[in-house]
Amino acid sequence: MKVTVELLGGLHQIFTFGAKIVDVNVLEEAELGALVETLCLSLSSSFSNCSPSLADPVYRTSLARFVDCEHLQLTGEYKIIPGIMVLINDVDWELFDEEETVLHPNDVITFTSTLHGG
Amino acid sequence: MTVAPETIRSPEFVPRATRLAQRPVKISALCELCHSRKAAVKRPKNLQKLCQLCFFNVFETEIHQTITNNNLYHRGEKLALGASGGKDSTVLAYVMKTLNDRYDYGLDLVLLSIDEGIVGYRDDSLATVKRNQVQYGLPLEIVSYKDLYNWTMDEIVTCCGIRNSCTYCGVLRRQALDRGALKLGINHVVTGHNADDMAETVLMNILRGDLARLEKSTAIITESAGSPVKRSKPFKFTYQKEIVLYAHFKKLDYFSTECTYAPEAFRGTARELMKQLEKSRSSTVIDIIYSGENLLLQPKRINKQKQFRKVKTIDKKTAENGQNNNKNREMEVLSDGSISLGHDRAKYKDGNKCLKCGYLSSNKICKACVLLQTLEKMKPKITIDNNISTDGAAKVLRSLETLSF
Ligand SMILES: [Zn+2]
Ligand SMILES: [Zn+2]
Repeated sequence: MKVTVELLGGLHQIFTFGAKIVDVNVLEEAELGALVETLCLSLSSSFSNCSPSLADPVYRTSLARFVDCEHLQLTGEYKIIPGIMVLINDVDWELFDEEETVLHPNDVITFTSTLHGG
Repeated sequence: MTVAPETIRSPEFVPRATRLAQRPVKISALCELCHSRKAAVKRPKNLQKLCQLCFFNVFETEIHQTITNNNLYHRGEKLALGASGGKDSTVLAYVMKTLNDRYDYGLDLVLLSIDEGIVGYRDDSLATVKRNQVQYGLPLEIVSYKDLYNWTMDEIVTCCGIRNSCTYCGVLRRQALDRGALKLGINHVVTGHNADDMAETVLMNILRGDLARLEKSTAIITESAGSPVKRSKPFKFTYQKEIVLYAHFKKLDYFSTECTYAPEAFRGTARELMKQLEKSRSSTVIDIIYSGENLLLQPKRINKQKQFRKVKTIDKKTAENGQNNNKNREMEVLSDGSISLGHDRAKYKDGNKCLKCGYLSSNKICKACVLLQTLEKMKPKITIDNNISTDGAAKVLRSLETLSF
């Protein structure tokens, strides 16, 4: 199924596809965590050496602007860092189940950085 | 697992409102204030669930109360609103304009923007500020580093490299708004510093043992004796998350980019620590500010109690060559972060003026002038060394930096 992702507050700069709005295909009834994983893996696929590890400082630096790398290393879970605010269909994801929120077709997921730039 | 190339692609153009209308309804709680609309926000302050309309109302009313409870402004006062085009200052301009109209404060508001002179960087954010000027119907004044210091940031970077230029940027920027306001004959600067910023600063000062700075860092309005410029922070109790949400829901036009000058490492760590604490205790930010406000230093006893921290200057060459003729080899760092060069430290307290530029300074010569003097000394060497145009130097160096990152 298709969901739409908006990367605001400068977050689109992390990803190689560069656009602020992208459509992403995820499995039916995927949780938001799976979407985050897909976004992060698209980041890794842009590296020439086919499977960059978290040990690669360049990869890790980019990834760390989006997800908690230490947590990922320990648990294999993709967890959004605290400085990023997430909205699902313009509703604060804290009102749902954050990474465990089940997505529906055509959901609009907005990621925006709350840090930087007064 | 690899990602198929077609997994992520640019969408066909569908207006945002249509996309949002197409999606199925997700079950979420009702607003805890009006009990009629769907909640859209969970307030970090008290975990209250609010709909967009109630959130706007609460957000604006709290800032109004902060302003009136602290008597920040008086009728007829002229205020310079610091405007960088970023989210905090854009929300500041919008909310101050809204409240001034709604509650008839009778304030004369002016947007004040500082142009550091970084070709290709400030252009976008200045364009945002110019649009804000039209959108909010507020006059805009742009003051450049060239006007204030006779140096552009690009020239400074060419002169001393991007790493060192961060020091310059910090010092010069801190004074730029005040100096800019004075130039316009305004003696009150309003900034968009929020609760998260303030708690972060308090935490940093405590962790560094810099208690002398605490009082200044938590003040909602700062006024030093003899200083012609007041500074106030009406967002002192406003959370960063709510500012971002407000700007997003109100569709305010702001410029966002990753900060060009990354925060110093220590601030970054303090920020992370605070975010972690916040996860387990939602009132952390306000608690830290409260602690900062209530930690009071005992009145200083003259001389003996005073602690001086000696630091070596960065002037490594002098040290390596074993020259000890440099009078500035040891500088004293005062509590406000300025540097004392002379010995008559008792005579130069808050309320004195810089001998060079007349700006308020606790030293004979203010920090900005000290830095600019150093720059002037480096200048002749540079013009011989490289003949390239300084235009865009900051940007080029920065791009090079990212490449090597
Ligand atoms: Zn409501
Ligand atoms: Zn000076």
